[in-house]
Amino acid sequence: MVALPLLPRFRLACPYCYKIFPEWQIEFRCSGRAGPGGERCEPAPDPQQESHFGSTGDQLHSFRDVRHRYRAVCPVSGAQTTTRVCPRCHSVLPVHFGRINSQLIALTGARDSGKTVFMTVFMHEFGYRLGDRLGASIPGADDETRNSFRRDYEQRLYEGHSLPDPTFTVAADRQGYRPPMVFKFKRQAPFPGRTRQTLLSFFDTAGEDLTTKASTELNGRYLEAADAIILILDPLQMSGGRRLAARAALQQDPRPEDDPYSVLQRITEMLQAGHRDRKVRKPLAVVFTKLDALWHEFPEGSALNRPEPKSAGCDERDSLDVHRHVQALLHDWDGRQIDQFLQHHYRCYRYFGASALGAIPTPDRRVSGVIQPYRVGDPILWLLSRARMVRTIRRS
Amino acid sequence: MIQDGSESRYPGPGAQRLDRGAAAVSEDASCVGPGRVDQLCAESGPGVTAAEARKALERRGVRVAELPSLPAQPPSAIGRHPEFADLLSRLGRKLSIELVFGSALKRGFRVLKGLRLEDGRHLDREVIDEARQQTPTGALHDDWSGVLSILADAAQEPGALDDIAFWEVVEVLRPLARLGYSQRALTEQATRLSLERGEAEVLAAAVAEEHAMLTPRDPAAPPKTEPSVPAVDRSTVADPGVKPDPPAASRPVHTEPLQPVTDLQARTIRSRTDIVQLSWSPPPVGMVSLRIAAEPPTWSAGTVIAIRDADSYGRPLTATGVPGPDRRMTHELALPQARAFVTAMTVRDADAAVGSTVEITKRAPVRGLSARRFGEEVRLTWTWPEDAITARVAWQPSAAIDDEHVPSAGRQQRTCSRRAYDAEGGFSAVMGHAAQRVAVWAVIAGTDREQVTAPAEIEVPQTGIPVHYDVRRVPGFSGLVSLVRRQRRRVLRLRATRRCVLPDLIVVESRHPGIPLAPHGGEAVAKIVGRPMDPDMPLNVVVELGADGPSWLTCFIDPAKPAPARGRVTLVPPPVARLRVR
Repeated sequence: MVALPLLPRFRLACPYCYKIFPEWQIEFRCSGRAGPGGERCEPAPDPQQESHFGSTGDQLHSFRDVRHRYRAVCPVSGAQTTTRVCPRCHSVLPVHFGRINSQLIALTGARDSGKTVFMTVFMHEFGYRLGDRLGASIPGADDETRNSFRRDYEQRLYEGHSLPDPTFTVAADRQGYRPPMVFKFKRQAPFPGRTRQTLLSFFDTAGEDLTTKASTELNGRYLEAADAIILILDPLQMSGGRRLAARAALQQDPRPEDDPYSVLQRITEMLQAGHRDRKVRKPLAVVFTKLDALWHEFPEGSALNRPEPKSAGCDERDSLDVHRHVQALLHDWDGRQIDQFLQHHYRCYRYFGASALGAIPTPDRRVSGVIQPYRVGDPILWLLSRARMVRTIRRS
Repeated sequence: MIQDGSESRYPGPGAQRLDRGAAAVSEDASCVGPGRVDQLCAESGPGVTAAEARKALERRGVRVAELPSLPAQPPSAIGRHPEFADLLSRLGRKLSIELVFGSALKRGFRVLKGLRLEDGRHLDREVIDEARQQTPTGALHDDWSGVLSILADAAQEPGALDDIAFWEVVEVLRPLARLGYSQRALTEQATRLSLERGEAEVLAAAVAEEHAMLTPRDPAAPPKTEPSVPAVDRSTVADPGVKPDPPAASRPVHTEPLQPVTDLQARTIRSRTDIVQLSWSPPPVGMVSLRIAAEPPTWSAGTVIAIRDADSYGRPLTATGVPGPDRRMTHELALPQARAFVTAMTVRDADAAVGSTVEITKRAPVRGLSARRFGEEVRLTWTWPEDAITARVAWQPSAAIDDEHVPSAGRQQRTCSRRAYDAEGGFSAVMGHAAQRVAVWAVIAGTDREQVTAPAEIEVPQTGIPVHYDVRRVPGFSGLVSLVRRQRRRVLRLRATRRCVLPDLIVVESRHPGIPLAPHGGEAVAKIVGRPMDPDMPLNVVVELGADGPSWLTCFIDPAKPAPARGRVTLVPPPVARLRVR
């Protein structure tokens, strides 16, 4: 949807807490500089932020100014500020929030399905290969994302060759809450000198959050506010997939609550809660990861044995080939009911096959060689193409 | 125990030692003198006689011969002409008789009982006078005439010409022995002079024995020491028993300066990770001695030093350079485990010109090279050696390597930086469908220039020749008839990208939601008999489908046929939407 720059928006979603609010409710945070009279705001605990994210340290004064949209004067210090914060969680909003599109993407899936690795590798790939291919960049939209992604995700995986620890449960401890990663997708607009920007917010749910009905409540809000959902499923958690997989990949016994079909059902219930009985309209990318453990099963000429497309957008034909191929594989993996369930509950979904690491990690959760991803960009490119942020390439 | 399986005629430990000793001798020599036989007897124990030792050697293919005594001084006929050797070297000759007999010498000659060519000719005043009449004009005329004049003068002394020829042959071999040439290598060098092989073996044995007698043996230094161990050489090492250098007055005077080797190169050899090939251009005068050491020499390239100083640096490489097609000399060397430097020194008499130095450290190649195909694209991964900054990746169709008649035009090479490798998840290149032999060299930044490790190689198997298929409506009138009669018929169109033999195919129809991935995933509705295919001649087959649609229509190679009959073909389906038949 194209934003009209002059009119305030009625429905905005915070990329950090995923709560909905109208644009005029956006608050400002004092800059901390001295005002004309020499007064300064002193940092103090922010109860609103603490209620969302646990203790985040003292913050400067937040206030609402309904007369101004982009800059305001702090009523305490008298200093001018351009720092805008979410009226719900008091997170500092990205610079162009409200003036550019935003796409909240919930990344969800069972425990150990590889969500965090998937997101890390995608971002890295975007920086090195996909960005060139699309003529786009995807920098972090805030300091926390920039620092955290590099330090906690990328360095650990690419330089330390170590898989991240299992994402901790949202419900477990607010102190350890991991905020969504917010990136700014920028690409060249058709007009010279102009760019098109979109905020991408990835909320990486912990696998444990989806294993019980109680713990899923906290994730309901994120899924409800998300514009699109990436559901990561692990074929090695399926009995048929385990039968066909390379032995080295079967390091852990599957847990019944991590069964992909159960995870899909729980997520669907969360999405449908409070709505009429109808199919879910949000685009759903169903990604089967860890394909490296099953590569030997794919015949020559298979869509999952092809080179990745090199086109500057989402290659629709290739994407459909993969979709159909994975759909057929589901039957081999004893996942027929997943396909049936999706047909009955979702209006728009597509299957993807990917390998984030390109090789089976060692039992001590390390990557023995270089990270060699395969098709990790496909799901997000498809979602971005649905939101008209990247081109859809249709070949005859 | 005799290693080659033949039974020993000398039971007991002495016989075993004798056999082992004879085997060791035969590794380096094809001819020995009585002194070596006596030495072998002594080494084998008291029970072994000289006759037994002789027989043991002969059984190993080693001839025992009386060795000639070698002259310590040049014959007086040329001793009076110190410029003689210099004149020869300026003419690019090793033997003065080359100027007399020309190409006739190439047919072979002997020197042990006087100079005699294989065609029966002798060296005498008459022959020399004939040669003088044919002295070439031009720049070489004076030098050429000078040598022949000296020979003509010598012809007046009985036997002097024979002594000169013998001395010259010996003087070719002696420096080589000092440089560490093996006896077999000395023999080869002698035969290259066109000396009859039997005499070449005897002379090589004599020179080697003389060298062994003159060389002090250092018991602390094993024969194959690492480069850091100083040389165990030789006539230049101060020792009372060593043959003294000829008096300065009797030394030949050289007017042409020694020229160092400036283009010594070391390169790794494909498919051999433990070998490095050294190559250099031979200088116009002098012999090239390669010396290996743990550190580079302290002398700068181009410095002329005394040969005894050169001998104190590292150890010589006991090897013979082989002329290559580009007129460069080459020598293959086993890579040492430790960092080492090889220096080329141009040696003449008591001087050595220090040439260029190359580092030949055995750097570990990339490890764990693996390849994965995605159709025509191949993704390579490997583990980098420490300090490697980039890699060179070369690939070539395997057929082109195996078939020497196929030109190597298919070889391609690219460079992959380590940063790009890490960032992009390995190295990817479109290599086509054919089997490829891929080699990867790691490049390591050295102090002054880059070093390339030995290559790691891998064979990437071929994929089948792609045969594309497509599903189309039946065209024309028959298609219209099918439509009217509500018959579900489609044309399956197959098109090969290269000439190939199409194996038997089966066409499968499936009404499941998922597309069939294997022949058993649906009902076989048609069989296509295998046949040769040409890229210009697509194959169209009309397939009758079941009454109800929609359904998936896919094509598979018949799995019932034995693997060889399935051929090397990969069926490439069309976009999946085209496989859906209503």
